[in-house]
Amino acid sequence: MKMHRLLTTPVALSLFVVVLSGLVLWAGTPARAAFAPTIALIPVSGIVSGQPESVKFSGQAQISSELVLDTSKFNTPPAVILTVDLSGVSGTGSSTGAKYTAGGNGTSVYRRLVSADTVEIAFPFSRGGTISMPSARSGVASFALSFDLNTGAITKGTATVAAPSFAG
Amino acid sequence: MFFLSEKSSKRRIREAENARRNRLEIIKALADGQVSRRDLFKWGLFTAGGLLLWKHGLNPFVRSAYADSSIPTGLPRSPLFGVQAFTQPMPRFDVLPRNPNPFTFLTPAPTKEANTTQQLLNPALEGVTPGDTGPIEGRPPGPIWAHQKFDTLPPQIAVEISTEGAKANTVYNPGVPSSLNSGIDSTQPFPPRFHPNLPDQGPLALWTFNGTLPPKLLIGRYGEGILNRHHNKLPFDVTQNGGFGRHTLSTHEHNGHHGAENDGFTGAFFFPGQFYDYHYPIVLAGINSINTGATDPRAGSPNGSGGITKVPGDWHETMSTHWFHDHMFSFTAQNVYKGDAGMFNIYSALDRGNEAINDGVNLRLPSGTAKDFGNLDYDVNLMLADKAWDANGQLAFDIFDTEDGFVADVMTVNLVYRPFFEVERRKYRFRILNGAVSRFFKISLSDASPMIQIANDGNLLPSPVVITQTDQLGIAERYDVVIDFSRYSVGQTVSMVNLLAHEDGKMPSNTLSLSQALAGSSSDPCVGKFLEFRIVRDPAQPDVSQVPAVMIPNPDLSAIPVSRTRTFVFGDSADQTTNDPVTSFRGPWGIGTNGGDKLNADFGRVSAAPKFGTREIWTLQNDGGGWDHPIHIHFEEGQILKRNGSANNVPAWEKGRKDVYRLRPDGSVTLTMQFRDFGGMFMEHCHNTVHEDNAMLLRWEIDDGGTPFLRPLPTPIPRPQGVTFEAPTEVLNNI
Repeated sequence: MKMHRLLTTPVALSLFVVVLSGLVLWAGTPARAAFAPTIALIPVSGIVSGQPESVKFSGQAQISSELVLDTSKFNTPPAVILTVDLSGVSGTGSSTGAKYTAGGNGTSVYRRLVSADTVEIAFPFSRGGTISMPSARSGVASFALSFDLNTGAITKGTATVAAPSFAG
Repeated sequence: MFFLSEKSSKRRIREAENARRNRLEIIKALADGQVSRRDLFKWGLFTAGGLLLWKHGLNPFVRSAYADSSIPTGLPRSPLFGVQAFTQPMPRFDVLPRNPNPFTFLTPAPTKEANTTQQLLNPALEGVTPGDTGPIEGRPPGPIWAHQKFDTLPPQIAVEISTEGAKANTVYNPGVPSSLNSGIDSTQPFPPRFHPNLPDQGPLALWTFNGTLPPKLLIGRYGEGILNRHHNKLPFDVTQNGGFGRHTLSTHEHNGHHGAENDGFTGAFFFPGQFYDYHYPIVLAGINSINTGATDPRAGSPNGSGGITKVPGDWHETMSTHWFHDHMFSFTAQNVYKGDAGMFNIYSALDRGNEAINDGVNLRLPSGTAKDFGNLDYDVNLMLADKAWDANGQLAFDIFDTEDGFVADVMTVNLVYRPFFEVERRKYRFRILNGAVSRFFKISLSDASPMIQIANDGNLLPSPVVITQTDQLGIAERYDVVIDFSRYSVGQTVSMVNLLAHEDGKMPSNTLSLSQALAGSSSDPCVGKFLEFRIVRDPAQPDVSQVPAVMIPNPDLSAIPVSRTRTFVFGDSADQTTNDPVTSFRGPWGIGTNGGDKLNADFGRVSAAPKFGTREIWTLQNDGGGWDHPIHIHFEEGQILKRNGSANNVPAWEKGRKDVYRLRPDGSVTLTMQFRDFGGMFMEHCHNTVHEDNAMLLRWEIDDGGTPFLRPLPTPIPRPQGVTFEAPTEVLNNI
């Protein structure tokens, strides 16, 4: 087995194991770091413009926030898993007055835990009580959220809704 | 970041390249059998926790001796040789020939028990001396590994495949005309390249089915058994592997409802020069207990002329999108990454692959109309995988982060680099497979348009779900989505976008918003657009396909008593209680069963033995540490009852049947399964295949099925001279 610039012999390397025993013990400690999710209700409002009519949305999104701590060797920064439920958000058609339903419930995102974060999530919506094709359209909800850096809980937040404006 | 920035200094890149070469030497020695994992532990190259020693010049995560930042050394980026994204068409899968009558087509004819006819062995095989002989078939011999139901459900179709080194494909069959394959002329040789302007992969770098690209597609239908004769044509010399990969194979039909002898058990591997006959009866689960008279047309199969051939079993168990891949013990990641993966579309009366037949049963999902079943015109297989290559453009791999997993820096679809795909203005079905080693994906369209998710893993959902982005696709998960391109004009483009960034193989580090992913600012090269759809014309024929509001409701198990519950905990810092030189493996990962210690993999250990014909509830628990684990349970489809203890946490797209269960960090999944129809030894493991290969795998058996299997089964020990058997190394208490 040819090695490149690996000058240390296996015997010498084995000594490293002793030196690293502390690291191994540390790595071997139970890694579990479970935190119960916290729930926040975030007010949502905004208009998705487009055809056949613009739709004005309002209501409350429910966001579950679960803190994820990396207790492994790298100790990468804490993160949160955010699970978004838009079932409390509905829309009204600007010209017909028809009711629109927002979907995408259960969408989860991973985000690095920071004190303030903007989380943008696209969601489908349809006229009527269910989300169905081919009439389904898309909106984008932008959540401005503040977090408790110790628990990952959302301390405050608001959300605006708009039409997608991506380059495609 | 796991890959160095393109702006890194030359010195830094040289340093990383040297570290990579050093690790490759060890990987190769390990794969070649020159050293064992025990040796690496003994020498201190792995710590007891399975970590690569934090040694400068070896471990990619050791901070640079020449840098003062906290950024790990990282790996050199894969050179692209000036190739741009979206400059090559995406090839459809290569459809495998289906040959009638396996008993006359195949020579020698397939047999119920393994064919032990002797052949002279190549002395380049490990442990072989000149003059040694061994069986031509690598399947373990005798009645225990005989094909179950071979007499009552004999195979009707023969498929003959090989695994071998890369070569040009001169028999490419996309199953559709060139106009539906982005203009690719399938009569021209298809080179083994990730892009026309990238180097050919050498025969030691890329090992695929039949040695060619594109990846292979197997077509099957219910009630028509397939005999898949798999030839191992890899080099006899285990060291001829291009630096990684093992030349022994065991092919798993994921998630086939077949006897264990056809499951690709990790310890039932076979050698170069041998074949293995896999028998896929393709039956509905419940064949022995539900609809045994085959009277329900929903339990049916296309009959070839527009009608239905009724079959026994439960139509609620109809499956659709499978895949098949290598499952070699402790080398699955390397061999699958090397190309040993294909897909398998199973057609039925419900999911017929014909959108026009209106018989009250056919769901008429997007597909086509010309053939009775299995039209691929508008039914497209997509295999997503991240790859990396060295300075010469040859496929490269790094197993040395055994704790996390391997993530690469080049996104491929159907094993080509960021292609485009031409579509008509109509609905298409895409069967999306996460074929990566450790990477998760989250997919959106680049304009955030809605898609319809119709299936999860192999199974159509009870009801379709309209989404604008998928959930995370864990490794081996399959999501079938329908995209309606009629909303676009001819000449427009729209792309699939990956929103998930990784920093390592443990789990995604960040979900980007669509605008962030499109901005191209992520340090993860696999974030962003990876497949561009080009809307090229109106449909040649009217789109008569449908996505019904009701597809396949789950089997109602409420009346079936739960015979017992089990808990499996998946985590690191596992122990090894056995020391068998073949079956036992040491690594950082393990599985704790029913409150016991987490144990490293040993395919000789029996950890669970559900009774034949019963129903159980299993809870899969992530032991934490910031990792995610996509857990695959072989053979049986499960229904998720709870996530983290609550049914309310199960999203709509997980309310069908599944075979891969993403636990999420610190999470748990509670599911229920029945154990029916076949018996033998199966597996349960993390499908982050680096975790799997480093000991997060266990064996379970279906017990008490009568004859001939179980209590408990002897473990196969394959050798070129023939498979021998030994008693289980351990049988856990209260299995």
